[in-house]
Amino acid sequence: MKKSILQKMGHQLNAVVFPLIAIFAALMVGSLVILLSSNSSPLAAYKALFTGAFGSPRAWEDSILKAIPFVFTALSYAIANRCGIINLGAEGQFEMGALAATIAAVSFPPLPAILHLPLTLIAGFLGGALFGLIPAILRVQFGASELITTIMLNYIASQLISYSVNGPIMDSASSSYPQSAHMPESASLTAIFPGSRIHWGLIILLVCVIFYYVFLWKTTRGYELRVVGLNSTAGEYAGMNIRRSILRSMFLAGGFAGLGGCIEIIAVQYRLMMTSFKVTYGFTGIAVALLGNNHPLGMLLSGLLFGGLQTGSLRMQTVTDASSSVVLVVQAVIILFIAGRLMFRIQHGRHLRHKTLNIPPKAMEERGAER
Amino acid sequence: MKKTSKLLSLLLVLSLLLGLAVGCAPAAEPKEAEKKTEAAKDNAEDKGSEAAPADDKANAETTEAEKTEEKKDEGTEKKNKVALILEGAISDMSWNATAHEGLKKIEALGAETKYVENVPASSAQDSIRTFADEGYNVIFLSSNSYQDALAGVAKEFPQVQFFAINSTLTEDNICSFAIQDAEQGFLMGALAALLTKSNTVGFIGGLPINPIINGGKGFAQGVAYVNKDIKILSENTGNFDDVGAAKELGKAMISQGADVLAPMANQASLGVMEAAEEAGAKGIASGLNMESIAPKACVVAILKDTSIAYEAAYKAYIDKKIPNDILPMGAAQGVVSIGEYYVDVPDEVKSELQNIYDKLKAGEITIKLD
Repeated sequence: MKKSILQKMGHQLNAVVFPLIAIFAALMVGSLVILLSSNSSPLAAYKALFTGAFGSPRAWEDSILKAIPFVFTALSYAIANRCGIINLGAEGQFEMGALAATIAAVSFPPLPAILHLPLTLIAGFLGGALFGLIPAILRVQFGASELITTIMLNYIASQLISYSVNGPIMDSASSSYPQSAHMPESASLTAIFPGSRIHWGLIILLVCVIFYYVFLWKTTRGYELRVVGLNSTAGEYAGMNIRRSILRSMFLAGGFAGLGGCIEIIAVQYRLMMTSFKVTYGFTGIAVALLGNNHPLGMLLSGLLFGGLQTGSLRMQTVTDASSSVVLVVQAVIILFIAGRLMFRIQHGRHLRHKTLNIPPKAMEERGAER
Repeated sequence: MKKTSKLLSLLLVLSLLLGLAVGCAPAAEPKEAEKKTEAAKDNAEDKGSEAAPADDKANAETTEAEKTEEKKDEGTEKKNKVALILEGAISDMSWNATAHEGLKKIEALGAETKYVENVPASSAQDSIRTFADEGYNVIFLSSNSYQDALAGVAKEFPQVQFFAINSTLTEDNICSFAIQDAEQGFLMGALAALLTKSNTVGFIGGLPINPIINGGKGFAQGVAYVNKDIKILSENTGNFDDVGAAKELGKAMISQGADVLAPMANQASLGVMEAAEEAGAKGIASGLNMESIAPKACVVAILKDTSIAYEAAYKAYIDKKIPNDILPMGAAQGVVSIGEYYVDVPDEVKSELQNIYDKLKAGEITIKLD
């Protein structure tokens, strides 16, 4: 009995220690890049990076602002991942959420904020959620790998944005730059405290994180979803509907990402433009989810780290001559180490192999008919 | 057992990496002054081994070096810190390259300078804030795209002077100048009309922002100024960096009969020049060094040397004579100019173009931008 508690503690410890090692190792690799590519010392560069990220209240504020969209897309990856689906389409879902929210925000006549704001948020959520449903339907109906469809849908989303800001929702009033009109005040999220830039999106995010936790661990549907993710055969044997779980998880995944995109536009950027998504929110979100081990708290922390890296990189580039791209290297190496560790784990624990869901849809259908 | 050994090896690698980082760090850290003294000392030692009496002299040199270094340090306290935010890369041989050129001129005037490349409009505010927080007191924004970002953030930093290229903002701490893209377009159009044999010419713009749209309008009027019967093909690629798309567009225009192409798309212009080179058509460059991409096709560069505008703006800042109006920067100011001819061009074409250029300079030609 005692042993099992110790083992449990060990598991918890592992979950914290390995990400830390990954971060540390990635910073080491990054320091090599700094040494090779610039005249600055890595210590000086990292000092600039970290003071730029967490060195002052203003820096904290910026880092938190940057972290918000990352945690949303991390939630998107995580909730699908818990159901055994690998959602690489958070990028596209994020963009579609932003697009739907923008349309809702700029195309209605002036509404009171109490109507307009919820409408915009719902549009953002649905924009992402419905876009997330497409690969899920393709998956359960035709067995199309979501790895491929989600990636491909990302391109469709970004081309749709490009089309929209150049055509239907282009703002011709202010300049000829392809961008949407400025968000009306009735559809914008304001700062929580006057004088700070932290907006109500943070609260919405925290609500979503809590929802993620409660839904997965405290509700039947969430339990089903997790069982399907861990072992779909067992789930089916217990009478769970695999298809419905997949659809549900991808709907929520798209919704989280869409809400993130919506909030990024109505609280931070205020205009949708072709360059709105130069920061790859979706893919960074995957890294955040991996580093945070799909755990609500872990994702909040790793999101803050990635937000901080993003903010600090600007200062690093300004103060030293190290390029801000070093941060991209650090992020990439973190992902490599985390993914590498997962590979070791899969190799070691063969019993974990069935973690991935690989039942062809036809087989599922036949079994469904038997029942 | 296996797991522990793996963990151990990982830790070993990490400690090695750490050692490397720490070991190398101090070597890079010493300030320039120390480096110089060290170098001087090394010198002294070297000389010492050869001839002892030289030692004193070397030491004297060292102190001198230190002195000049101190003087420099005093100088930096008063130095202006000038930042430049660019939408593309400084290697685009065009808009961003001349902007960087301008920053170098400002550096030569004694300012401390720094630039960032590839800043999308959506993150321009972050860059502005970072520079302002780091004590930069002059910030140049190189593109019309940043106008909204600047309008939102300029009030937070009343101590910073912003210069916005091609913006229409005029605030207490924002000075805008309007690069006369239309004049550049007009000259390109006139030259294209003088050169064409098929009576079809093509204009390829980048992102359809005002400067490019104006350039296109200028082009059309320049062509019409020379010959009203020439057919004009005009398209925008929709961005400034997709060289491939611009090349395809160039090829398409050539297949429609165009034999002179004029790109105004920053980096993407290079694709148009490539298309012209491959098809044996002519290209009129809108930036520096494009003849290196298309030695046969590139006729001449109608330059928009924004570096002149940057330098002029900075000089106005030093002299505290920043005007409240939007500054026009075109042929009259020397910003728009005709470069060297890279290929043989009939003399009458050259003189005709020069004639048009002089008229533009004198204000005898006005371009309509409605």
